[in-house]
Amino acid sequence: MDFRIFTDSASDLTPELIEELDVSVLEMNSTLTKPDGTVVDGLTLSYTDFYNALRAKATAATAAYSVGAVIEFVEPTLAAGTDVLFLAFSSGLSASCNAAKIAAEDLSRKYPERKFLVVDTLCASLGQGLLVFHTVKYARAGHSIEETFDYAERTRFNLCHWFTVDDLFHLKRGGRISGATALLGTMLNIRPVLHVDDEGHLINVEKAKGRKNSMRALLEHMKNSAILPEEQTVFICQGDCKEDAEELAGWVKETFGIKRVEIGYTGRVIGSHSGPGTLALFFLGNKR
Amino acid sequence: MKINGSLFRSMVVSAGNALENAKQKINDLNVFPVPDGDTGINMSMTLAGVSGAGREGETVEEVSREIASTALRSARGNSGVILSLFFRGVSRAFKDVERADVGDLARAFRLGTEEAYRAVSNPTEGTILTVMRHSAEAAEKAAGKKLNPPTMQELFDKILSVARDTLDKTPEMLPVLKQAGVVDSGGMGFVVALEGMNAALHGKPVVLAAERGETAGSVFGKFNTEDIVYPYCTECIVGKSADYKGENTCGDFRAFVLAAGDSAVFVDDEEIVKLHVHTSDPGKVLSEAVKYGALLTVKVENMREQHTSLTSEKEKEKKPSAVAVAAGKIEDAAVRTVNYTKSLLTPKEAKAEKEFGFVSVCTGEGIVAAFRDLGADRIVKGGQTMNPSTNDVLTQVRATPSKVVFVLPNNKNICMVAAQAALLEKKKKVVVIPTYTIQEGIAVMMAFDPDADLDANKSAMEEAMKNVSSLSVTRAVRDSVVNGETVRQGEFLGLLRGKIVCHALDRTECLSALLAGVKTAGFLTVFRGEGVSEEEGEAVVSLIGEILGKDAEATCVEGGQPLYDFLISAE
Repeated sequence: MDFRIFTDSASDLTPELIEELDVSVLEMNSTLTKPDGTVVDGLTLSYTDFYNALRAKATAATAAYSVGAVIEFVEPTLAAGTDVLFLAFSSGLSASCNAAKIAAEDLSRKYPERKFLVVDTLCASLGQGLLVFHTVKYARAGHSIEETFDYAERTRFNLCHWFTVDDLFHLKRGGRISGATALLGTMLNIRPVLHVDDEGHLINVEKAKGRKNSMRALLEHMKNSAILPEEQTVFICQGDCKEDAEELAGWVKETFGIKRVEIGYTGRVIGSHSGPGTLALFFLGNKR
Repeated sequence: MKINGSLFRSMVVSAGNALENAKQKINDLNVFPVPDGDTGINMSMTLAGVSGAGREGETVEEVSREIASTALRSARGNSGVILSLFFRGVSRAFKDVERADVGDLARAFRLGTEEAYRAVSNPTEGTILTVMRHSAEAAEKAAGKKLNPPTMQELFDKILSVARDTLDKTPEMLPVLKQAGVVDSGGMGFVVALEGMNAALHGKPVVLAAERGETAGSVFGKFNTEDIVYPYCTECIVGKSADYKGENTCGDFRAFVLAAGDSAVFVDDEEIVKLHVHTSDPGKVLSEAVKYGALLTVKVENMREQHTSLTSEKEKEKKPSAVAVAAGKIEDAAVRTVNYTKSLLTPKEAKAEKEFGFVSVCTGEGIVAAFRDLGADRIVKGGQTMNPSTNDVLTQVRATPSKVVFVLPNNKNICMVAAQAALLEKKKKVVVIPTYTIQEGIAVMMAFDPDADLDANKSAMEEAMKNVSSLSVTRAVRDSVVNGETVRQGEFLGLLRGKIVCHALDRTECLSALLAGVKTAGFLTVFRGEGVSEEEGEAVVSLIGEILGKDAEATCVEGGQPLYDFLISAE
């Protein structure tokens, strides 16, 4: 492989995966505001502390990265003579991808012999991470940067994201969720079952009664759309609800005979919108 | 003798008074130990709005039409609706009739009975329907006699006699009545109403016991005229202006009235205020009242004058509220008038802003909040003990800003009222989903999909209703024998969709037995009632975990409902 693959921290790749895939990750910042008004840098908190703060009704915010930040991060690689394929966080959820594209134009002018290509993954969290995983695999099989770019652009629409949350407060507050009906039934333990659609937006699809049923719904959707599941690697992310993630992973392995299920934390970028208790399942399916 | 408009009016007013006087007796016939909307009150309220004041020379056609309309709007409970439909049939029979003869009366009973039967999906014999039917048959047979046709009074005496006989036979027709040793309460209500009508026909219309002051001549004698400190009995109903709409918004006004004299009663309702006070300066009270809205009715009486005339004449027939009787009776009458006045107000129509809306009938702050949380637009307050009237439901239907309005009665005894309200609404399409319990209502709302069409939603909601089990725990309000089991007053009862399945002195024992009957449930919601603490609620959640296992997920929510310690839904 004669180029490098870059992504941003919205992909929630675990340190182990980052090492395994040998990708460069642009860190996105996150700020947490406690109910008493104190502001904390989200990156200084452990995931557990971060989610506990959210449980205590702190609010978290992330900012899209700037064009400058991308340039600063990517330029050294280009200057050293290596091409870059950047898999960016969904444009449906952030302006980050746009910044990356502008940076790409700038740097392409400055380094005309180099290639800096940006893919709008239309993905988030470990869904984005899973796309990175598959793209790296494809690239390592000997494909060129252009072929790999095309692969990523095709495959992103097969990247299924299905998730559920514990507490609708954060989704409500963040305003990233469409459909007023997603937020009904909070009092009565009704859980939304959501996915990311082809435009990269978070969409409420159905309501499930109680946590267990919402988890079962994720599995159902995988049954309905997964392509050759037994050959897949599946990612699951959890917002400080490790046991639920493990239970879901168990169901997935049992149902499909899948060998590898990676569980990671729902990172601060997505987590600040979906809140503690977010549980998501990512796999390749025939449609989102 | 023919019945003219004014006589018919006084007959029905008399029927209403008779029902009011007998309401407790009728209520007591309800031997089911579960607290429920009482037949006596319901039937009394249904006729309470019929006004005694008519137009000079009004025909029986006009009067019967007015009565039918009033009764329909004020109807409460299934028996109230059936009674109101009887009067609708009567008004159909009296079309084009100025004064009714015996043939007209017999036809009135027949059409009244038909109208009532038509509205009931599963007409059961041994109820008010049977009493109506037999009365109508007897009326037609007697009126049809060519030889020696009966006079009006003879005819009505015959009708009443047959009605009473039929009532006495109702235990033979309905095993549950026989077991309890009582006659049917709706049937009794109908007989009482007939008695009232018959009394008026014979020149002695029934008067309300409270207003007669049950204390005929003697008590008046004990008071000296000078003892009456605040001489002006002032009663007023105020139609609230927009600023004051809603319950309990006129606290300042209440304080003013309470300070204006004595024997004060102040009912602060959503649309109106009804006040009653004995004061020396009625003008002051009325001037204050206009600040809060329009004066719908005003009555001021000089009690000193009345008292003097009463003690001297010892008149039995007297104007209401002359001397202070027990506050409870006045309050009763006040609430009665508030409710009938409400039924006369025409509710406003809200513009449709969306396709679907929901009206839900329920009580309990937490339960109301849960329905709102699920997207209910309007709530009709009322459930177990005070059933809402047709107009109460219609008001909320009109206020719902949607093209299609779903109505959830959440109580078996409110389904007919909801159906009648749906028929009365002309602009919007009203669909009643016949939920028998709050739990069914909640399940139905959860199944609603705003993106689906009407038919898809209807099927989904009806499906959801079938898939939820409604469990509840309450206390027996009386001793009773149910399904061969003796239930003692105060014991805990476990009910499944309104039917008693277990009972125990200890609440946890009762809950355990109730839950054991639930086969498989993955999702349960527990609404804890008034006076039940959070800890007690959590204890039930744990109990559910024990009895139904790990896969049963239960949540406890503060329902705040009266009478039922727990309302549990299991899916």
